[in-house]
Amino acid sequence: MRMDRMKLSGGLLGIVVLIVVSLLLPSPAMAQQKKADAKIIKIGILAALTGFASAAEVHQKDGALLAIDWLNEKGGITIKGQKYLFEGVVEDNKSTAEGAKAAAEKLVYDHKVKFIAGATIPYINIAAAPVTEAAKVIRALNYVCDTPEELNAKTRYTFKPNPAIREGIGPALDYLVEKFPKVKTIAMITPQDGAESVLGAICDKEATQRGLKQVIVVAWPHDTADFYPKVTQLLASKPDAIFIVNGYEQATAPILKAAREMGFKGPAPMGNYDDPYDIVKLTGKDYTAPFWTHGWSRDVNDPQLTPEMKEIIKRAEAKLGKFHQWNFWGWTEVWAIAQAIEKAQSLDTTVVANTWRKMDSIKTPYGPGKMCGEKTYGIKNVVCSRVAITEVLPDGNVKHIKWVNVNLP
Amino acid sequence: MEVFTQTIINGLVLASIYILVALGFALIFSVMQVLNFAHGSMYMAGAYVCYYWGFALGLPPWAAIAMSAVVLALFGVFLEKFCFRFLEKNFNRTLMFALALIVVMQTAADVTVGGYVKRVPSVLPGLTTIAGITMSKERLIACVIAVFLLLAVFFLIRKTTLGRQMRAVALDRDAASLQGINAHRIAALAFGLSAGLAAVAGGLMGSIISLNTYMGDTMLVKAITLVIIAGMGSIGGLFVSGLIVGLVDAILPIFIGGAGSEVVAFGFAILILVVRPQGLFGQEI
Repeated sequence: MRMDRMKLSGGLLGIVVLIVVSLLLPSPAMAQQKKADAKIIKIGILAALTGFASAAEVHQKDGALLAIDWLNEKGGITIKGQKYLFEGVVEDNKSTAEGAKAAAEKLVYDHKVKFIAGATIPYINIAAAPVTEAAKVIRALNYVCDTPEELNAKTRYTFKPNPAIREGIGPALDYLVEKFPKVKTIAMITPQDGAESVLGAICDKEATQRGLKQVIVVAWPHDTADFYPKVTQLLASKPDAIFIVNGYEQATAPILKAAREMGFKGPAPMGNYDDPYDIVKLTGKDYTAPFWTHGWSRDVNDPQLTPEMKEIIKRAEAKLGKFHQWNFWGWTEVWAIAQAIEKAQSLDTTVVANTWRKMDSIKTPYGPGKMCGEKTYGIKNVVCSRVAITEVLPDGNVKHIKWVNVNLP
Repeated sequence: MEVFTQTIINGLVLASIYILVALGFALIFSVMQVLNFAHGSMYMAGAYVCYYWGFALGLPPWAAIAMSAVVLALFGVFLEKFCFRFLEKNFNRTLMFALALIVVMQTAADVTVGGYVKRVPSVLPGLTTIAGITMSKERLIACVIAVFLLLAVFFLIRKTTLGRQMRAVALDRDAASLQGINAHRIAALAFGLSAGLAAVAGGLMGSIISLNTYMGDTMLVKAITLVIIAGMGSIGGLFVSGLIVGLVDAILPIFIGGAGSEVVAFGFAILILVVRPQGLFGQEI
């Protein structure tokens, strides 16, 4: 009898233990339930999917979507105990001002997003700003060309998490002076997109500070197919170095190639972030060097690349089949937005914007960043981290030279 | 002196490419009375097809250009036979179809191949020195190939039976049909030839500049400008208008900023339309 009671008790205990354990083990249903418990934060992605800017911004869009996947895999963010995952909503700005305005309106009023990643070209950003600022939608730009309308004291909801042109000019010229001390004159070439006079003045000042003289500024329209005439104009001033400020690979490469074909052998630094591998592919390895850019190396074995950059490269290759360095840009925007929201512990965009401005540190793929830019732009909506000096060697190989910390007062 | 010579040669290169594209555009209009606004997209498609023949299949650049011309020519015949032929009596529908074709071709290119930088491998890479002046070999060869093709087409149109049939259809389609000329066949051949020429132009320019899916837009505008200046129906006049526009595009941007050279070229075309609507060499309307 006593044995029977013990067996029954043991059996009951076993059943109780089994029930408790099964309740504690996560089941697929529970996982689904957990995800279902998470709310969604929509992030609008304002990117050129058509038009001349699409060659770059399609990759920005891809990078943003990769970041969203990555954040969601990590469980999203938590705001006041509530989990949030992210969802990307893409609209095409068509590389035009009208397209940007229409796309911004769709994101804000149709999709009801409160956070937007993108875009790049000044007149596109300027066109979208009245829509997003009026609706108090936070927008993280790819890039700023330093026209006053892009970023100023009134654009309280517009942020710049990526390094852009102003951060790039100084370090590019510093490396020029370091590597080619005999260079005394530079000729600047830049797109004619409304920023050329602003950038010309900035370049002139930065050059003078380094003992260089800017002898000419040549601006090319965005629909330029053949750069020979513009490069002829550039080289007519007989510069020691050509300074390619702003643009994209499809323009930089023909500029560089035309210059080399016309006999220019001097340094041709870039104050921008063009992909050095694409430059070599388009220009030809015999025509590229000496050339450097703030674009990045893709060598995942390079210890100077950050773990985050390597992660992005691997993810892009796995999911997209190929990495493009503009994936970094889109990723940075989404990641910065996520960090700001989580820090603010709020989805109120005014609270998020105010919190973001005051953040002591913010993570970027390029390294730790901090908020800056109050004196430069009239508002502290810029993330300052660091820029890379990446050089194309005479044999056509690409080498990361160093990181340069940047700070905009 | 070197700069001047390089600029003139560049102007000739641009002129020869513009004429190649405009010739196809004018040919279609002459033979079929169709304003094929998708012609710029043929140029773009030709460049991309050339790139893939060259890289994906590893053909030498000259073979890649030739193959892309064949592919686009066949595409042109297909378009005429199965699309434009049914619309030829309705100008508005033809126009709408051509505009829709632009969107379809550009979007298809954007979605499939547009995102990454590409350049057609050079037919003849490197530099050469002629009379002490350094020049790009690929620009020189582009000019030579384009001029050769233009002369070949000119010979075809002026001296061969097929060319005479094309001119007959262009002059009076019904009368040509009554003479036993198969106007549809001639139209298809003209379309194929036109697309093939655009593809060669795309392949040649694709090695000088990089590819992008919107490269055809600018070229279409150049083609229309050349045709207006020369006069609708004047194939020979295209040589002169091409030289004018090519040299303007090569020289003016050196001295004036922005789209100044475009303004001059368009301004000249507008002046021609006002003063001499039939163009410099065209027939009276």
